[in-house]
Amino acid sequence: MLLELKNIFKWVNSGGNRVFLLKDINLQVEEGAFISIMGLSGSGKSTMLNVLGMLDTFDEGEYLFNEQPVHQLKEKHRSRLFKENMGFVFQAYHLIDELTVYENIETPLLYKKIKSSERKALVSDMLDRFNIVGKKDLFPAQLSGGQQQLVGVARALVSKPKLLLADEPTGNLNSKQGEEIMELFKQLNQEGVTIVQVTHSEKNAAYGSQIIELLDGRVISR
Amino acid sequence: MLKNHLKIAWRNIVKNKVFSILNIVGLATGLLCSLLIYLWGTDELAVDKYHENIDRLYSVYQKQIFEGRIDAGYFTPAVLYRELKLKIPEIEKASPMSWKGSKTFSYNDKIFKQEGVYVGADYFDMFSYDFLEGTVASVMDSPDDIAISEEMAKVFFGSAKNAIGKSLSYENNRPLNVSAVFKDASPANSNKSDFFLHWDIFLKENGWAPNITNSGPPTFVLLKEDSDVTAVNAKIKDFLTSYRTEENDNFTVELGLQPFGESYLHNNFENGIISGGRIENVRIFGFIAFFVLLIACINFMNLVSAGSLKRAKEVGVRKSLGAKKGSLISQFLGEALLLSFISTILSLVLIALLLPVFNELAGKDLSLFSLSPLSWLGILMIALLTGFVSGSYPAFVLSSFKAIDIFKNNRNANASSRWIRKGLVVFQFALTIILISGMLITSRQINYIQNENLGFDRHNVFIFAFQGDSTFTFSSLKERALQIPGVESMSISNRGPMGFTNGFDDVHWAGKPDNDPTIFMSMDVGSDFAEAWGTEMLMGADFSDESIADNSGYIINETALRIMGLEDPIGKPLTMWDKEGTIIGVMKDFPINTVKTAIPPLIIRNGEYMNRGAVLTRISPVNVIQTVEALEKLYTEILPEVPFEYVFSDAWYNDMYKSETVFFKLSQYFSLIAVFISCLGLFGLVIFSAQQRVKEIGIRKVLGASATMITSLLVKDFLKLVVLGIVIGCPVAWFFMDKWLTNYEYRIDMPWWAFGVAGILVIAIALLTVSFKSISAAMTNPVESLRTE
Repeated sequence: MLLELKNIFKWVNSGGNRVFLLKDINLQVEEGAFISIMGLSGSGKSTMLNVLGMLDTFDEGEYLFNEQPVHQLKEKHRSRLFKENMGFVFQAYHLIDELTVYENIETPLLYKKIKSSERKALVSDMLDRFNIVGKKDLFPAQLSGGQQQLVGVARALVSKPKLLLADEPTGNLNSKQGEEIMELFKQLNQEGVTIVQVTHSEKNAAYGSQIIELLDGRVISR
Repeated sequence: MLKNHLKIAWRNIVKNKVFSILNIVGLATGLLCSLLIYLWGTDELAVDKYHENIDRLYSVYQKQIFEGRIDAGYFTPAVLYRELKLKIPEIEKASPMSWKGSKTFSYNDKIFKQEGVYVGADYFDMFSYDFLEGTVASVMDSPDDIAISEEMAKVFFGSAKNAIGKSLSYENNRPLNVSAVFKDASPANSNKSDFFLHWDIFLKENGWAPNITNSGPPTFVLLKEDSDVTAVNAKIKDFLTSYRTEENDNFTVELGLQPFGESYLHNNFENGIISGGRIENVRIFGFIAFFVLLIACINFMNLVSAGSLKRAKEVGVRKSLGAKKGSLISQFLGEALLLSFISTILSLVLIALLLPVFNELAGKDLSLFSLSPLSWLGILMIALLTGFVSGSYPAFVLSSFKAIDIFKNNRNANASSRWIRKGLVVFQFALTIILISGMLITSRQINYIQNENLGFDRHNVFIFAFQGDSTFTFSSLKERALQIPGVESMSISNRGPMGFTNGFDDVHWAGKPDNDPTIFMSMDVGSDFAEAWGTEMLMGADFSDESIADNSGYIINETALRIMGLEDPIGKPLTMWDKEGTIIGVMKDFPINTVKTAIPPLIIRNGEYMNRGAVLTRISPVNVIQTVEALEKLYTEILPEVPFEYVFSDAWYNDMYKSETVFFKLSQYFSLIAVFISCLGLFGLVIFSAQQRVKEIGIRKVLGASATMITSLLVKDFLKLVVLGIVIGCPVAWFFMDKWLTNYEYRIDMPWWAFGVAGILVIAIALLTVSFKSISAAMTNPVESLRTE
């Protein structure tokens, strides 16, 4: 078991009322799984993904990652766990505009304090693998949306994470580009990367081996 | 439209409280500083310009030219005015004026010293004074007339009315008739005398004065209407040559005219040519005012243009609704003007509160309520200009956004303004470092002048004027004074040791080259001068009770020895003004007149039997008050009719550097203001930068960056700019400070560490400002910033 959520609750207080963002979420993610989370806008998909990615906290429940209780870890520890095990892909790509493709991919390695020679090798691998060697000195603004997302995925994978978290990775792409990204995800999953993605589209959700549907912060089907 | 603009402007100010406050406080402090300087500067510029005849009034200056060396100043023969009026037809009126002096007056049992001058009979016809009693026509009719100020009239007679026609005893030996009472001199008058005495008394009191070949006091002339100054200047250039008695080809004397209105500010001569003076302070402060205001404007530009991204949407909407570029420019300019006016009002309130302190410091009598309409217009212009300068750049940047770029959220639209912003920060900090290092260096120099031992020990010495007579001589005073415990030594000098005027070249020594042009200064002192003044004898001995009997000894200073080039000076013959004598001692150099000029060669004569002069008394530092009181008692016992007025030599000395000290203090405050404003701007920029980069910060955090890394990322960016500013500012500061230091003969070596200290100080302050906001930016949860709209 890679991670497990047990009875997770998350809420905000608004004007005396308690509004639940997540309500009694239970989830088990095995290593090598490919999970799609679906639901309407505001159903809590992204919140759940952020909780999984340790970017957001929750108010009640337990979160075990590799058998470690994440909710009891200190910030520093948690951030290390995140750095070593997770990669994030965003709908809006979120590349750093001021950095080139190469530098964008390199950034997570810098924060992991990996040596320069090793960094070079790892980034080159990624560039090769995603066929973007020719674009390595371009800035994000000079790329198409599909290419930007490719860089985003490459950046998420460069530190060889166990878990890839993707928040509507194809949301800003046209159907052809979206398909390419999903094919890539499928391929990565076959190579052993565990993936959790949030999506609106049934078609994209179907790439996963398991679909979880949320409504108003609650799991309604799995 | 205007209403709509004003409404939006006001709502923006209220909505962005932090930035409005940063902007307003920054601009207001900048304006505070420059408006204060503006008030001070206009006041300085107005000095002496109010006289009705100002267009025709001139100061006469003299140039003495010896082989290559030119001495110039306002010293002229005391009887020059008579000759000029006789021989130069264009000169309608002329009057000399003595240096200000303190004289004793008494009326019944009231005895006071007052400060005033001697002037010629024409003086009041030339210069404008308001008379409360008496008339211009009769004020200086006879040598027994005296004109006094309203204040002096009150001191002696209770009121101006009571004073007129009364007899006032002058120096306890001459009754004078109060012929006029004038209104206290206006603040714009550089001559703040309490009384005016007739010139004939001056000529009588000063034996050298009636001789036209001797020079001393300044002379002023009033030209006839429509006379040609250049022609008069040409006529008087060699005016004095015909009066010379001895022929000396190496020596020429020339006269020149300077418009009187300029004399106050342009009072310095360099190589015979009028150059600088007080005007330099006005200029330097003008620069400071300009720079501080510029820094404040830069802040404003930076803050507004950095915040323009926030406003971009509004611009887009307005443009798509049909707004033209011009109307957008006027809108944003209007906002800047509104802010600038709010700041101006705030700064005026601050000025009103600070003026008493400022007046005290600058020795001025400024008031917001007595400002002329012209000054208010000036203030209005400064406010308008500030608003315009600081608003123009953001207005043009904002109004040139393309609506389509804004809606597409194209970040590159702002790229060029980012560069300009960075450039402005660099510029701002370059100015800041110039001001701070300048402040450090001037403070070292002022400190040096005030505290170093410059060849004499000016602490624990006090000076008082002595006017003895045949019954009470200086020696009797000294004999009894030395019995007072605490009095260590006492000597007398014919002038305050720092009060010299002009020199002479009639000195001969063995081996003097022909036509040697050296000008010597002289002073007459009593015995024990070296001890009392705290100087050192390098060779030979000071005048002592034994040697004083022999009237032929001379003491020279180091500089004089160097010029004479004597191997073994003691006992060598020296002739001065045809009086043969021998050198009995060599005294260490001490500053004469000011520490600004080189020490002149000095010959000290034996003057033990002088009955008038400045008494120098060295006392022990303990029980100073008792010692002074005991001396006062002794003095009043000997000379009951002369008030005992003394000044401590260090206070007197510091007084001579008052303008420097004031200047330094003011520039210190202004520099601090500049630093403050720069940091306000930096603070605002960091906030904006953090806002703009909020996404990037979020991404980096998701990619695993820690808060420390993010903070250092933000800080590094700004620090680079600050350091670049420092690198640019230091050489500029060095250049100007090096130039300034050469003004002083006694000066410090350029303290290199000052630049280091200033740099570190600026970096530390900038770091503090920047990290304050950066840390909080780095701590925010990336989930907030990365949420997709």
